[in-house]
Amino acid sequence: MKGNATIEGRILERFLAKMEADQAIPPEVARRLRELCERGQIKAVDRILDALREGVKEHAKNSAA
Amino acid sequence: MPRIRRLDLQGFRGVRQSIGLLFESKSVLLFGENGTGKSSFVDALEKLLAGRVSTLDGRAQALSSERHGPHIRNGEHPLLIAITFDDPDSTVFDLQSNEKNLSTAFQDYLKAARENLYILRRRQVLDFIDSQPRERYDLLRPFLPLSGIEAMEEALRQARDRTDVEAGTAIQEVSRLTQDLRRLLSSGMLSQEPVEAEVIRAVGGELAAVGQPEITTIAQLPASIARLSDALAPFGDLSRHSRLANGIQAMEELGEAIPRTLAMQLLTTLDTLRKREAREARIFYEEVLEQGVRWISEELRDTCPLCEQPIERERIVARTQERLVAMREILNLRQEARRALESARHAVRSAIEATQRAEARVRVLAEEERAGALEAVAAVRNVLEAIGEELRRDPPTLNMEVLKNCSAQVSPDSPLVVGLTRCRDVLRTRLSSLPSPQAAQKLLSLRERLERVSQIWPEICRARASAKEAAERQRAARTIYEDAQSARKEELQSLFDELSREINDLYVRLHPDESHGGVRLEVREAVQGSVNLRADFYDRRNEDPRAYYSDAHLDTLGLSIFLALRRWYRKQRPGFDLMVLDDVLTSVDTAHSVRLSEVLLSEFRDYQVLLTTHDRIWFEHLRDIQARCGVAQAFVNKVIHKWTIDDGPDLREPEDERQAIDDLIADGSAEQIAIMGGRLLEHILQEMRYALRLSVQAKRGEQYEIGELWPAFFATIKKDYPTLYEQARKTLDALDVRWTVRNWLGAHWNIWARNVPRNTAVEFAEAVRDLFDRVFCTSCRRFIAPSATPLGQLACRCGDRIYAAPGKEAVRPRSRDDLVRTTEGALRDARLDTARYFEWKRAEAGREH
Repeated sequence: MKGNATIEGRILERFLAKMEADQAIPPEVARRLRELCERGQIKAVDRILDALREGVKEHAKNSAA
Repeated sequence: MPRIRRLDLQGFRGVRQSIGLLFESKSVLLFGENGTGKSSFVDALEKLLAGRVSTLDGRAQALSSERHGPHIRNGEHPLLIAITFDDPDSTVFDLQSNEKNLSTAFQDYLKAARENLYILRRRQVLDFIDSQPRERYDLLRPFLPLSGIEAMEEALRQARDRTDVEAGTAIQEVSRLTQDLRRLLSSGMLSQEPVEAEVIRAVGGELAAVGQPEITTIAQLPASIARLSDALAPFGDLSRHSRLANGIQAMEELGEAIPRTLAMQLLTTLDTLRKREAREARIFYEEVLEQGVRWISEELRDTCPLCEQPIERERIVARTQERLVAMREILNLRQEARRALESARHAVRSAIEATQRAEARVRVLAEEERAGALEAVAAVRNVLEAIGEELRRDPPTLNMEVLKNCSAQVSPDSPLVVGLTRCRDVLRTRLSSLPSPQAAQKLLSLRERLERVSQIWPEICRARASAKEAAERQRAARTIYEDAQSARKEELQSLFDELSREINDLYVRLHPDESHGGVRLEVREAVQGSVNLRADFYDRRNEDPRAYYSDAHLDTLGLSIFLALRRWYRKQRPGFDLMVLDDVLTSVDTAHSVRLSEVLLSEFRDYQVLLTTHDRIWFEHLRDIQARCGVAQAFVNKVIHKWTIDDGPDLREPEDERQAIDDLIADGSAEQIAIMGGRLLEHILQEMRYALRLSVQAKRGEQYEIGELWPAFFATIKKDYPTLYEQARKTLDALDVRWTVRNWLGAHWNIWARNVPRNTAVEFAEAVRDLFDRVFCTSCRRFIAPSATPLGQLACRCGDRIYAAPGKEAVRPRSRDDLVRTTEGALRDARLDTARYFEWKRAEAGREH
């Protein structure tokens, strides 16, 4: 078994790494979702939607700049 | 870390009177023949720690530990199960304890013990192997705390669905506004998705038609509208005319908006969906069915990929495809219902806005010109608001009756809509009666339309930006959900790979040099929450182990899986070290059971193990192996001598019985002395039966009594072990005459037995005590047994009790530590290697000969 990480912790880490490497997901969205995970709020649908909205908006702004 | 010091129980399963199993914070090896109450201790531990007994609860509907746990004659012996831990306070946890009152270490221990992942019984050994893939995953579930991940996945799925709906709504909004724009301007000049240049060109065309200068940017539109107003000024006071025209236009827009609110499509879809859902109560997973069909068809399988039972391929594929079609129809209908609902919500919102515009424009008309239009619009708005309120619900909870009633109130031939049309016609009549030149009408109409265009175009731009963002969110949300799913699957597979390696390592240790193993747990791609078990057998790879493995191999595989899982659970709960193996080996031969014992005693030496067995030979092996693995001090070895329905398991140590005889000889009655003497004699004879391989007539349950064992014992000692016989002749001869005293006084009440003098009972007990002292060694706590060499010698393990073979010197057995210490070369390292151990043992025997 690897380290002492829990199974959930390992799945979460793999998910975040996958998401951050995925070109189809704006990095601004990935960053916000990681923050949600760290705050333990990744199970709240509204917060995920907020992260998507804000992240996509910021990505559009950054891309335009 | 908490460890169990003792387990007390009373009135539970096979235990009626209070009894304690002393762990002394060590592991316990408990031997007892079948039906002597071993499992009562296991059941009690499970009941107390996990709240259930898996041999009762859930096994059959009529069985339960509540009903069948208590002893059948518990009466004056109420149910008691208690564990005493080895902490300085000797913390006791029983059925009435509140664990919240215990310290954190105990709470953690008890929390870990609630999941029964540490008890393996004989009948459960093959559970994991025999399970279907989904059940197998369920068996692994307690080891996979995934509730947090599942909650996250569910939230991501809901977010994905919500972004789907938002993206659809945003597209609809763009489409509605574009249609409005195309209606206001000459649609021939506009594409389906007009860009700014097209709008500028269309507006320019309209302006040119009335002799006004064209525009080059949208920003110039207000100036053009102002110029149109200037152009209208010469036509006099057109404000009344304009107000009426505006009012009529707003009423017309409302008239067009109302039919779109008729939720007919939604009602029809919902109606169809609900009928289909009622018919198709169970929805199958599309992916599962599709993969299943693909597997069955492409791999020409003749077993079900889910349950692995034999199937008729064509029939199953046909039926599955029917189910797929039915399921897709339902899913499509649900999607359609969601879309229709969104569309209806949108249409109602637009219509309510249209009523607001109409009200605003009608309100500025003179009182006598309104002709009841304000009231008619307000009545329509009320109905639309009621529809809007109902449409806030989700599709499954929509009240179709309310929707139907409301929709009927705004249908084209309803009094409300007819009244609205009448009001608009009255306004038209009034407008036509006003003196107004045609040129003014044209300019007026263009001004109104351009004013609307100047409002709509920014709305379209905003709606397009929103739709683009919504599509971006939708794409991201879909990918995120897929990433979460694949991360879970990949990580689980990687965990299963690690677990497979551990299972395989254990299995290969039990079966070295055998051409099978390669045990693998595989997450099934097509089915969420499903695990395949595969193994190799010679040149057959990736097979279901049941196909080729013998029962014994399957047993050891089942054990390897349990042990690997137990170790896995320990990593998650390091403060919980209990493991219970209840009579788990029956079909395994000696060499394999010795290897298993070595694995248990060496790899699991930091666990507190309760190991029960009904196999006397394995029990003896385990005692040997304890010494060989250097864990003898970590084990308490207990023997259940017998069991009765009223007295339960007899766990007393022989020394206790000897001490009891001393006490009773001092002040006990003849009957008490005879009973205790008989009990110790029975104990001695049971041990001697195994040690001397006494020939007795086989008896069901092997519950032999003194009368059945004594003659064989006496004859064997006399014939084969004359040294002991000579030394104990007086005692043995006395017992040969007096052993029946136990039955006269203790077992069967006879009127004449009252006349048996106390002295006779004392003589009997003293003879038993003397025999015990001669055959039991208090140093190594073992009974004497025949030595391997020289033949005819009897000795205890340490050699303190020794009876030489006739005509030979006594040969003191060498201690195992001494043997290992004095053994040359690598043999010292061979202590845990069974093959080398046997080799060494044979060599030792050869040397002694």
